[in-house]
Order: sequence, then structure tokens, then C-alpha cells
Amino acid sequence: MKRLKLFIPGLFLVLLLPQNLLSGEPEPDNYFPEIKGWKKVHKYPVYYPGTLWDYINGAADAYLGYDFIDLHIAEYLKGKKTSVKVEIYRHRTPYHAWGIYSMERAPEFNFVDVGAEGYQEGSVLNYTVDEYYVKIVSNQGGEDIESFILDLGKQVSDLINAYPAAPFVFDRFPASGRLPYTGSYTAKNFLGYGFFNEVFTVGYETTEGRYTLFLADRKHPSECRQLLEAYYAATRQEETSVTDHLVNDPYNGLVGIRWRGNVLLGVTGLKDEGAIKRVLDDFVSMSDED
Amino acid sequence: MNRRSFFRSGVLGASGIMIGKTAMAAGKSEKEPAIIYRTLGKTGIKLPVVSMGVMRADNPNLVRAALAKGVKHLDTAHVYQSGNNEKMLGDLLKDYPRDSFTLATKVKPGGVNRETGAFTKDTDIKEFNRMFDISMERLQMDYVDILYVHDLWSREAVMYRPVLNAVLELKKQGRIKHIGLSTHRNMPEVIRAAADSGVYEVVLTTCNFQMTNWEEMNEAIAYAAGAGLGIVAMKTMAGGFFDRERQQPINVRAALKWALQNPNVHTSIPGFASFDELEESFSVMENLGLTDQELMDLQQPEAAASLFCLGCDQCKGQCPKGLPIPDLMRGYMYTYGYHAYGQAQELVLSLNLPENPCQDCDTCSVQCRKGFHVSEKIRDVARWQKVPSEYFIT
Repeated sequence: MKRLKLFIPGLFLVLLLPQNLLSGEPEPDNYFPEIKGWKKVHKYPVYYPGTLWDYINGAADAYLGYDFIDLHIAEYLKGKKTSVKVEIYRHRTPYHAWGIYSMERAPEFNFVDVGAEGYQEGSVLNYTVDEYYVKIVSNQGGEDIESFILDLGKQVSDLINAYPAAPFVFDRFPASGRLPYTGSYTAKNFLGYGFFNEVFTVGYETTEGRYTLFLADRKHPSECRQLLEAYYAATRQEETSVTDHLVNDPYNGLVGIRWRGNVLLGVTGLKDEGAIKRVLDDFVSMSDED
Repeated sequence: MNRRSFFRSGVLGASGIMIGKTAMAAGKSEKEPAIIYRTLGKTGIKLPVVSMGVMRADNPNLVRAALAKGVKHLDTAHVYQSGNNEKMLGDLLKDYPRDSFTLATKVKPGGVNRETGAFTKDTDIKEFNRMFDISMERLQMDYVDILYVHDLWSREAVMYRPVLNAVLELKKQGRIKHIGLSTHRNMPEVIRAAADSGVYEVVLTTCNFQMTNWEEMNEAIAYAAGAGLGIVAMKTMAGGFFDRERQQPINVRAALKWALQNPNVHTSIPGFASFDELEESFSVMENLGLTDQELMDLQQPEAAASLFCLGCDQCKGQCPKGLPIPDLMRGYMYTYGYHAYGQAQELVLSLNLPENPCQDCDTCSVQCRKGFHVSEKIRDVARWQKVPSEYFIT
């Protein structure tokens, strides 16, 4: 292989610059504010997909599955004992950041007003904003430090985007019966199938039972067609309808799906065909209004 | 030795098993595969050689399918999915007879010195126990079969008495059946130390075909297995891709088989996240022999191979001028392999190198196990010292 010669000043140096610098996109290091009375230090390297394992071990696999780009870390120190560490994980899109955030979230957590959505459990604050998943943690506990962490989290969030919002796609889900803090995004292997990717889900509890609605938005109807064909093939069933599908999935039970143009709307978790039809009718009418 | 013979001798050296010539059927098998069992050292736990690393799975139905398929052993950790992984398993497994599966989780004691890997005065055993309590609450179990002390990478840490006492106490209480450790770096030293400790019963270690120090690894694994430790292989897929851009996928069946050629590896924990991956992983038990094609598939593309240092540390101390060769090779990998320029420059600047580090030597005496031309790589990477840092560090 012809050996690379990179260190030529001038034009080639510019070519070496990271893509985000060339595009003028802010670097995450700009999102660490200065805080009076606290010393900000950068003693950790920037972690990339090839090195994230060095920092979070096996947990890295899940982050890589959500198109992790890099991790920037700053530590705020006060006195000799108190440390607050801010980790900013950058992912490819806001959806991917939301996806990894929602994978680690649980509805029973203590949700707070920071970023697009976030929660605080003692000295741990996690939230997502735009394409970032932010984690703040302290080695100390108590009201003062927890209050500081929340303030710091808000400052970081404001620096990223002063008007953060959850992905608008969640507005296409029905409001009635919706369980709070259950909006998720699965980048890969939805329901355990390698072909079922990029799916949004929300949890519900209604008189029909407890279930999950999902939405897969594609660029072209043919992609919906292909996905359905793959699903029928994987579950070894014959397709009986073009638009309304009821798949008896050997692993996931009955899965109802409606195909509308570029979009697949579905439900899992219900055992009664009538209930599946009713909740999908509601979902479709809600989605059609959009 | 070329890469092909390297793989052959690695496999044969590890196991003494002849390489199978039979072509393996790719894809899904119609019939249920035979299950190959091995015993996890003196723990006496008999396991299929394919277990499940649950870290990527958030669908309980996938775990159900794995158990139905014949998987017996599940592997999680306190930190996976911020605890949701343990919660998911707890909710699921409460419906299974406790003796129908074995489960391992991992807790990492804090306060590790980032330079040496040793525990420090900041290592808080109470916090370690608190994290274990939280894990048990999530798992809704009276005991776990294995608790791994997570991510040890120095002998000193393995032998650290307060941690050993803590896990021994948990075992005495009956909350853990067996004591283990996990290691991702400096594995041979850690594995040997685990065997020498007299406390650890199971080692969970990185074990894949990308390792260049496989002889040393195999010897350490044999040493530990000989002492009665159970050996569990992880990261068998070596990241799943040859390249950082994830465009050159690794043959996962071949990679898993490679790790399992070593009879001292008692089980493995591939992290499958789909039913197809489950089928694919489980199907290796039809025939653990590697075909010629699979051996070829495990050869890293030449272009990528010359970029990636695997951190075996063989070059450490070899330079007569005292240059930190492992760090410089890492800097080269950051630059050309990962294109992580800021990180590369930060590393190189921290080494306080002379302007032309190799100028006093006509030839380079450093021997690299991968055959790197070390001085050429040093010359390239040392130039980071002349690049204005404001281009890369914001």
C-alpha cells in the first residue's frame, strides 16, 4: 500500500481537520460552561467508536448501535473532595441520541425539566438534547450538590440548544392512554429482527390493556413493502392483506400492522384481535390527521 | 509467518484440534443444533459453549428465545443500559425455575488509578456493596451464580485485599455462588493473578482472533484453567467490523469458532441482539472446526492491519533511546486508523518527544509482533508536535 503522507502544511493540513470543524459545527467542548467557584478540568481524552470500550467497557456496544460519534468529558472540581463529571455523548442524529437515552431511562425515574427530556436520581442527571446524550454525575450527595448538578445541566443544555424538544414524530401517537416517559427510538433489531430498523415506540395502558404502539417512517412505500415481506418470511406466514396485517410472531405474539404510504403503524402486547383492530384504528386516524 | 499460517498455528497451538475441512452451511439451520457442553472449571457448572451476553438486548423475547434454544448462561452488568438490562432480566427470569439458568453480573469498584490500574484510597467498598445490592434488587434474585469484579487490568488490583474480602463476604452470605473477575486489558497478567489469588473462580476475558499476543494469552488461560478456574470468552467478534467505518464486517461464526477452538475456553458470551444472530451464534456448535474459507475470512484486510496497534506491549522498553513505543504506536493508530486527530495530538504532546526522535539511529532495533516499521510510524506521528494545537483542541 502506498504510504500516507499527511503532514504537509497548507492545503493538506486543512484536509486533516475533523469534518465538524470544517463545517463550522460547534465542538462539544464549547458546551462546558465556566462556573464561578468551580475549577473546570479536561483530564480525559475524547473517546471515539474505536476507544469507547476503554471508558465504559461492555456498555459501549449499545452506544455503538446508536451511531455514537464521540464523547467529550469535563470535570468540575471544588475543594479537594467534590467532583462533578459532565459527559457529552454525540450521536449521528437527535433520534439516535434519543434512542440510547431512552434505552437507559425507566418511566419510574424522577424526571426534571432539562433538555428535551431528562431525569435526576440523586447525584446523577441524564438527559438528551439534539444529537447529544448528556450525563452528569458527582462523587458527593446531598441537596446542594444535586441542585448544582441540575443547574449545571440546564446551562449545558442551553448552550447546546435553548429550545430543546422531543422528536416531533411522537406527536403522531395518540394522547389517550399514553404512559408518560415511554417514547423510545430503536435504531436496529426492533422486535429482534435484523431487518426491522428505525422504529419509534410509545407505551400505553387503556381499557384494551397494556400495549406498545410503534411507527416506522420510510422514504418510500417500497421500503414498507420490503419490510413487510421480510417480516412474513421470518415468521413463515402468508400475507392475507395489502394494508392490514396481523402477524402471529412466534417470539413476540400477535403483532398488528397498518401500512399507510411511507409509514407502518403497529401494535404489540395485545392478544385480542378485536383490541388490536380498535387501537390501530385510533392510531391510523390520529396519524392521518397529522 | 504469513497471516494465514498465523491463524492456523494459533488455532492448533491453542487446542491441538485439527482444522475441519467440511464446508459449513451458512445461515439458519432447519434442525436444532447439537449442543456442546463444557464445565466451567471447579465451579462444576456445565454450560453450552455458547452463552448470551445480554448487553445489547432490550427485548425480553430475545432472551426467552435464547433460553428456549438451549442457552443456559446469561451475562449482564450493573452498568448496562443504566440498570435497565438487569431490570429486564429480573422481570423475565422470575418466571423461570432458578436452577434452569445461571446468571452473572458485574460490579466495578471505583477509585482505580487510571495510569496503573491499581485500586487507591478512593476505592470505596461500601459503595461497591451498595451497587451490588442495587443489582440484586433489579434482578429480583436471592443470589447470582457469578459476580464479576468488573474491568481489572493489573495484578495489584486482582490481589487487592479489601475487594477480595468484600466478595468473599458476599459468597459467605450466599448471595453469590462464585467469584469472578472481568478483564479487557493486560489480560495475561490479570488471568494469572486471578489463578494465584486463591479467591477468583471464574475469569471473563477478551478473547478474539485479533489479539496478537495469543501465545501468551493461551498460556495464561491454560495456567488458570489448570488451577481450576472457569474461563469465559467475551468480545469474540472483535467489534464486529474490521474497520472503524463499519464497512467491513467480520464473519461472526468464524470469529466465535476461533475463540472456542481453545478447549480451556469453557463458554462464550456473544452479544446477539436479533433472532438471526442468536441462530448464527448457536449454529457454530454444529461443527466447531474452522473451514479454510472461515480462516481466510478472519484475515484482516491488509490496509487496515497496518494501521491498528493491538497494545500487546511487546515493544515496551525495546528502544535504546527510551522512546515510549507503545504510546507512539497508539498515537499512530489514533491518527490513521481512527482519524481521532485531537486525541492523537494530545497523546503525542504529552510524551515530550525530541523534535526528531529517531535521528540518532540508522536502523531501528524495535521488533513489533505485527511487523510494523516502527521508526517510520514514529517519524509520521512525531510531526504532530509541529501542528498548531488550536486546529484540533477547542
